[in-house]
Amino acid sequence: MATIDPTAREANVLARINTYLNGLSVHGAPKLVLIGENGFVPQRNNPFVRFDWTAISSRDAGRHSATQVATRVDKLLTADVFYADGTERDPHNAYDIVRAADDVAHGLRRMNLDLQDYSDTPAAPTAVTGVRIRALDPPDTTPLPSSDGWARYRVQVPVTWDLRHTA
Amino acid sequence: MTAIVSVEFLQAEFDRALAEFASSLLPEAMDTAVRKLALDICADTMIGLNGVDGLPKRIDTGRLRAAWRVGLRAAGIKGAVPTSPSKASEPGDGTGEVTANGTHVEATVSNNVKYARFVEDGTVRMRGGHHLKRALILARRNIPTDRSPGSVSDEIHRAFGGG
Repeated sequence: MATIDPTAREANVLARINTYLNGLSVHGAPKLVLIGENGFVPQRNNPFVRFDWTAISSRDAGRHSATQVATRVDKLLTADVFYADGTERDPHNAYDIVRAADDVAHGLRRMNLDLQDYSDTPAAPTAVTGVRIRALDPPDTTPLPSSDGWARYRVQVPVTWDLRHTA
Repeated sequence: MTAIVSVEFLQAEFDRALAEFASSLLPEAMDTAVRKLALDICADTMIGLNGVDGLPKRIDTGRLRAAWRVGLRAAGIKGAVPTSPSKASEPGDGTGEVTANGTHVEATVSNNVKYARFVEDGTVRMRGGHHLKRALILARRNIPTDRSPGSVSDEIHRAFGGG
């Protein structure tokens, strides 16, 4: 059976992005809930940022070599920033969430990562040359209505990379 | 051998044809294009709700998905959208209209189901589905003159050094 090219393993991309997101410095040091991380339970007064990604499309992107073609993959990366709403007895700084969302947006805006192949040696992944995982557009930052006692900002940006596979 | 070719430009005829195109054919073409766009966006949203491409499948009774179809029909857009075998569909779940003023055509399709926003954006305990957002990105890519972020034109524009 032919081996899967490292660029075509979505797990490699996911791990690389999660590693990057986990290293973001965000105002107020909220808990970072990474893509695919399950089991997190929100707790009052503990702000958190929840990352997620959604498939958009994949398109032909020409040939990579004599034997491989390239496919451009787009995913919509979403970061939901949650801070507990303040109350009369427990007032909160209303700008903390804005600053946190701004930090997240800044992190996504400058995202330009190499692809790491985690399949052989997960503890010491090797870089795959010529593949970048990038956010091509500036992220959208949108305040969403509060619900369940939580204020919320959403930061979204499409991320793109080219995967290779045998024609 | 000598070939003689003469070209005559009929200015009046050209102007008449151009005026006819602008007054009748162009508004009709715009109307068709905008309706097609609205149909594509709703269809892609419904496809997304069905859980394709690893998107979170958010179908229980089918009411939310059916509401997009109701909205399309309210706007007079009857296309081959996926049928929604919904058991739960209430009057007013979807609204829509198409308005036109010359070549300015607007299509509005609304999904009025109360929980639509939570399915799209998620909640504090549930990740969002982003089905509509995905459909909008896909639709923008199909508009040749669209320069909004994420569009094909935008990518090409920037690839050639555009700002």
